[in-house]
Amino acid sequence: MLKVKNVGKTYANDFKALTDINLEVPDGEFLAIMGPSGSGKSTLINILGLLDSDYTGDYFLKNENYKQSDDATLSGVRGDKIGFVFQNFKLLSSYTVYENIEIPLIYSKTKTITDRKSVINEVIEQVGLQGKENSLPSELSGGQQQRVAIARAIVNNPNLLIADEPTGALDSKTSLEIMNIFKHLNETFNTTIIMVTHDQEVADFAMRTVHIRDGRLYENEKSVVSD
Amino acid sequence: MENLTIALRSIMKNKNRNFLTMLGIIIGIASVIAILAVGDGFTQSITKELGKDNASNKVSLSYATNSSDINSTDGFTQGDAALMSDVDGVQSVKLASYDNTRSVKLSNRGNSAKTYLGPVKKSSDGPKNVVKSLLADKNSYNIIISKSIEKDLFKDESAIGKPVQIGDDMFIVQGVSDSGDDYSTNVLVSKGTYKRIFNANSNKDQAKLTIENGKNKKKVSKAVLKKIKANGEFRHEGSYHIDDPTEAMKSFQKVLNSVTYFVALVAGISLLIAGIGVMNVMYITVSERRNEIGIRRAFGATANNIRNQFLTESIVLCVIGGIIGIILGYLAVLVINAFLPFKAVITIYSILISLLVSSAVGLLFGFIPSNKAAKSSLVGLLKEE
Repeated sequence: MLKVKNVGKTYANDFKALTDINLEVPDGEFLAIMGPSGSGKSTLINILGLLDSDYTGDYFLKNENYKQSDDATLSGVRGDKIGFVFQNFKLLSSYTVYENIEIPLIYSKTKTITDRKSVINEVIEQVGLQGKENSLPSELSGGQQQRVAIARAIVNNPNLLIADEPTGALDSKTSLEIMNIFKHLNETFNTTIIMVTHDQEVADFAMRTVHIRDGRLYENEKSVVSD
Repeated sequence: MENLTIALRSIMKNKNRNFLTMLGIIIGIASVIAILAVGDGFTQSITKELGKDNASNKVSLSYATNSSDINSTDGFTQGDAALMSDVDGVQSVKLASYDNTRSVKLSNRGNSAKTYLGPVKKSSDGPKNVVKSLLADKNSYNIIISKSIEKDLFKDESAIGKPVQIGDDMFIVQGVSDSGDDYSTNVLVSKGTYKRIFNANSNKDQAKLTIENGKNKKKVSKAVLKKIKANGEFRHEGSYHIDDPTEAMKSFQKVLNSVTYFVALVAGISLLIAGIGVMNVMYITVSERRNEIGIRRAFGATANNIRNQFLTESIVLCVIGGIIGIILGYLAVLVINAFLPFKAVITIYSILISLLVSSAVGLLFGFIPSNKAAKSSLVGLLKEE
């Protein structure tokens, strides 16, 4: 379970990006965070993904408080327990599909090199990219690139998947394909997913939606409708 | 290992840029290799020489006169030789002279000149055919004189074919050489004649000792020196000492050392500039790859992982430069060897030094950029496209 308590973030220019955020995400939940641009969505998801450690309040993952943890610990948690999917895929352009997916395994202390190949092939199959192992990202369509990114995010078998506007750069048909993959992961492997989006259609795939406006979180505002 | 692959990959991606960066290292390391090879080669040739000397059982003693008279006949006498051979461990003693010239007086019908006379050599000046015939006929009474002596003895006439008296003997001038001044050998005679007539009373300023097998060469030669210093016939007119072949080498070594320091300085400056180049290119690499750093960090890389990745890249860059430098240095040594009296050699030790130095340059100058990469804020890195 992921829990944040009284989280706030103020930028150097005194801009309050987040105020008094309290959020609990039980294991296996698929949560959508919605909000207009500039509302603090990205700031919140960076904190939830342990990418940003400069905030006030407390952060618990599996009952462990990571507020005071050092870089090595946070990096370890990111590598082993959290997977990221970004809006613009964030693939290394000179690396093949296989090599991109391999990156989290390089830094993982739990997987040995001999394991790698089978693990990578497994996730490539899960996202339906068989035969593309040696392609470069530039040779793939946007949807295929996002599948590579998802494969990379789940290769370490994380408990939590953080997706920041995963369909933001995709057309609606491809968006649906990607969302189905997320849904499948959530249902089959009980992976907790926190997804930021501003697309209601995409948010409808989630079990629960929270809204963020001017740095404050509002639960259940429209969730009743989508539930 | 992973870092090495990443590093090689990144270096290959920007071949031209990285090669130019390596140039400074290549030049620096090549000169280090070359100069170390010359130094090592010289040391090896000396030790070999000394080893030869040590292995052989020969020692040479020399005598230096205090007298300024060039005709003084001070030196080792037959008596001294006998004295030395009496020393325990000495097998035999042979006397010789260092200087192969004699001071003589030449005269011709009332004109006379004092100058030096020596045996003819292949390299001697003078008409080639005369030099050749003097070399062939060892007992010839023909001589070659220099132009200045010709002028002294014959005024404006030609000396060719005319007799000249030296001591009690008459010689025929067969050739005139262009060279010659007051201090050089102005009269050349054949070898046999020189030995028979002039060398008989020459001073023996060198004693070549053969030491008995199994005896301590150093000890025996010291004993000989002590004895000759106490009893030598001309001990009051001069001094005796053991010839040390390393003395001559030492002065050459001194010159070599200053050359070494100079080249080391050049190599040092070259490596410093190379280092700054490496730092520059690493800064560029780091800022070009902020996106990559962000991705790696998000997927579990620690700040240390990132620092090590870029440090490895910097070191690999320098070591590749170092290896090319070693190869280039090797080629330079091949060229240098064509001009050296001894053989320059590249030792394992100098290769290790070169590799160590190039890694050190990479480590030192790669550190700040790598640290910058490691310390960048993760959110900032990911925000950029």
